[in-house]
Amino acid sequence: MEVQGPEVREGLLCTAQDRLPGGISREGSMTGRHELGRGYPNLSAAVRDNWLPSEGLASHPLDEHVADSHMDEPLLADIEDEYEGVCAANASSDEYSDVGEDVGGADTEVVFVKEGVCVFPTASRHQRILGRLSLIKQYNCLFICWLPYAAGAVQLEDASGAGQRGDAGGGNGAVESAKDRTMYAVHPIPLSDVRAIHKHTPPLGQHRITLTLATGVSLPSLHFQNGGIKSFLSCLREHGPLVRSADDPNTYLINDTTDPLQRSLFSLELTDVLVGRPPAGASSTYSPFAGPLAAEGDMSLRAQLSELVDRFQQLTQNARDTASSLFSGSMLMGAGGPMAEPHLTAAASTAAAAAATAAAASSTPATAAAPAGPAPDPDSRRSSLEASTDLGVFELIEGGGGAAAAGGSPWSRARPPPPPLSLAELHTFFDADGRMTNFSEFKQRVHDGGVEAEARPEAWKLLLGLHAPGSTRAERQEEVEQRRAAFQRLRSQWRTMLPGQEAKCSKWRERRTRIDKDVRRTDRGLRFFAREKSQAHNMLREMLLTYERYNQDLGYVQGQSDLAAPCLYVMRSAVAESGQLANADALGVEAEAFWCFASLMERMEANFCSDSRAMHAQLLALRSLVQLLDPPLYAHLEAHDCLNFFFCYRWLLLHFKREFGFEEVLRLWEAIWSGVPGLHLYLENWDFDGMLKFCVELSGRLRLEPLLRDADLLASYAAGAGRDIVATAMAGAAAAD
Amino acid sequence: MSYAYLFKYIIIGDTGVGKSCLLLQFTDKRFQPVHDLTIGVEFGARMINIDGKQIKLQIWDTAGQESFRSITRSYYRGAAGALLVYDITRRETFEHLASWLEDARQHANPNMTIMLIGNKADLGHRRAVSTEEGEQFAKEHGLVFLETSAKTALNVEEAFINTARAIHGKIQSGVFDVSNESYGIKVGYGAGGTGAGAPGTVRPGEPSPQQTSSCCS
Repeated sequence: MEVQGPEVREGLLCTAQDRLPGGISREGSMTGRHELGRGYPNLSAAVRDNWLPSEGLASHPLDEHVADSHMDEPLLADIEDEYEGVCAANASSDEYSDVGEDVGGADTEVVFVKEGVCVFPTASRHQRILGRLSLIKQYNCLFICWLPYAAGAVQLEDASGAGQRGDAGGGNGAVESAKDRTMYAVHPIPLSDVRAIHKHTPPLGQHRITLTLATGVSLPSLHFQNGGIKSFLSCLREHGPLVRSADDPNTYLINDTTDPLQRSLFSLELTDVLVGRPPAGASSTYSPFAGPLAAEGDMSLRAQLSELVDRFQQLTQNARDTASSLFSGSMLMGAGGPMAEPHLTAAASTAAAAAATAAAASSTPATAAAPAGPAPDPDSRRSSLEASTDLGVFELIEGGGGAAAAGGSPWSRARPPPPPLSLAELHTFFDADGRMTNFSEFKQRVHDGGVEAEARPEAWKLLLGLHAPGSTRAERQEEVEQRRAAFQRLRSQWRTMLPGQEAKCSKWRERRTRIDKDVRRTDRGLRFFAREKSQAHNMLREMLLTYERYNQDLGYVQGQSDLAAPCLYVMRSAVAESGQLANADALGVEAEAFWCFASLMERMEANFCSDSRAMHAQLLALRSLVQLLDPPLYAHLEAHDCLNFFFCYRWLLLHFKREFGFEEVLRLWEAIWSGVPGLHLYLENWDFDGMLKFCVELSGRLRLEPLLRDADLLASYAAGAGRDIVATAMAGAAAAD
Repeated sequence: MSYAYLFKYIIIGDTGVGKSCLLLQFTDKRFQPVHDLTIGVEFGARMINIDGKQIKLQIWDTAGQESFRSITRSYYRGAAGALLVYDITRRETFEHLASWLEDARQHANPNMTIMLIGNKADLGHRRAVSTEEGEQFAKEHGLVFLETSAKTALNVEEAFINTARAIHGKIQSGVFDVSNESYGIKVGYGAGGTGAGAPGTVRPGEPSPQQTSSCCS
């Protein structure tokens, strides 16, 4: 495929040389790996001089994107920028294998290219070195190569960040990065020098691979920012011996000899850490298998562990920064409320949505037949997992969920959750006067284990701020009385309307009609609300009518009944009698339920505004989180034009109310409300990590009945624009029948 | 099951006019008076037969309240047919038809077939909108009109199937380019038109009013 005229090639040549100051490996001798290219000068030259004259490269959007990346506003701009980068990469379908380009004479062929593969030289997310991963075939020998983009193209957010802090370290960052680029470059390494490839595909987080050389050296992880590991591996498999380790499905052994002894030794030693061994057939004076793990192996293990921890920190920090910048940037959620709590709720539920999305991703509807790339991965269908549900058969996206992935998650080893907080235990949080002595500990406890039904009314009132934690029992009793009186006053505003007055108030009549209709279609599956015109129905109706008067600017909006119903259910459970309540008791329950609902609405109000700005902001935040945490899913959604995330609309609006069983919703809500200590969720490192951790743990727990849960998630996933995917998948399945 | 075409429908109209019930009656042949109120959108599908051709209807049932309009509007995209529903017992739902129609005209494909539905015909004793008024409105705006009852199933099949017939007629007469998915039609098994690219792809030079890629926007 001849694609470009000589003048363009000329330009490319210059660019290629600019990109590699100091030339290629022959000059470099900083590390062992630089010497690896030594035996292959021709190849190096071929790579340098004929660097991929493939279409799209001359003005690859990613290059432009990288070159423009000196931004003043690192956080937000980075997100935007990354986002565009991914878009651009997808738009140009840069992922392909078997390119068949003739680069360095008759016997050199680039068989795989993946743009935008990056290395994080430090734990700082600001220092990301973007580059191009390729597989090159020469004289029947396959080479792996990763080279960073040009000097100006390196992401130097660190430098701008330093500038903002007022020190003169901007230049330093640049120098360091330039050094890093050459240092981290993986110059063409013959596949025979590679011992193993370890694939890391966490359910949340960037997918990456680590190459371990025959010498035992592990190269820095290569991060695939928008997927592509699968095609990389399948391309490798086509061109060379690649065997999946029997013990660790994420480890691929290269040059695995047929010597069964060697192989079993290898798999024995390599289950936890990749330790190299001499190339097969080489006379080795050093064998890592001669005894217990040699010191070098230990180092390697430690290095890998610390790398893992670094990466993990980086990931959660990225997520936090994303949420932080979005929420502090838009300020929409806070506009309605006097406190920062709306931020908290919004951020928390967005994070939860991200986790749920990731969980759902494990069963994302398949459109295996319609990947955007020109060369569909031949391996994808064979190796992909499938999930069968009511809606059809779905492909499990690579790396998403599943027992294997969960087992690899750093969170899955966390201690089991404590039992729900009982009433007796709740009382241990109070002093003699009934003051809560340690509110944050209480919230943590709720967060970790939930609350037993008995203790729920009291716990919810504390969580929702109806009572100050420092209030005494007597004060709280008094507050209950006050709230009851206030509720009664509010309720009488509409109860005492005269017929003539009502006739003049069309808006009120319209809203009342709606409330009447909607109360009849809220949680009717629940026994509590099953019977029409029951006391529960009437209480729910009165709560909503009273709220309509209480917050006339907002008024009644559909969805409120879904939020009010659990409040009523929980407050009703505070009264022991079953069946019909006496009027006084009913008033008390209704009043407390109303104020719980009103407090919840303080947090959720922005979501219900007709301009939908808050919802759009949250959906945008969610999109960014998914992009960050689950690039393959993001790419999938993008390919199917679902990036508006409208399919999450109901999740966010109703706090996942329709997505889980009623009891689970109560548990989920109290966990969300407990949030994490401190109102400024996103300001503290631990907070967001904690929240994310919770979401993942929770979704794990909710998936105890995996099939049911998957079906639930899928059903909810299918709501909104996600239906497009489902439809496509179903159309595909139907067509295949 | 293979099909010749897949049509995307959207059901619109005020809250509580019986949109979800119509859908349920059509897809499941049952009436469920108690139904969770729709937030955002719900979804149903059924296979029908027009002139010996299997056609799959993929139906999007939207939430009626105005608060959801900014979301609902995004669902018009790529719909081949719409059922615009009002409640014959509530006059205001009839009076709001014009604004629904305006929304549809603005956000849907201009060739979308719209069927006007006066639902709850079983409640004739509480009728607030006469059949003639419904007919008149339909005539003025170039819509097909039917009165239905999701409860008794009166005209429910007809409402969905007549719409499909009209769309099918438009395909036969060449109004629709079936390879362009923005018309809300997908060609099923064995037929051509699949090479048009991934769903949602903007194909330059083809009319796709709402089909701006949501990416990078």
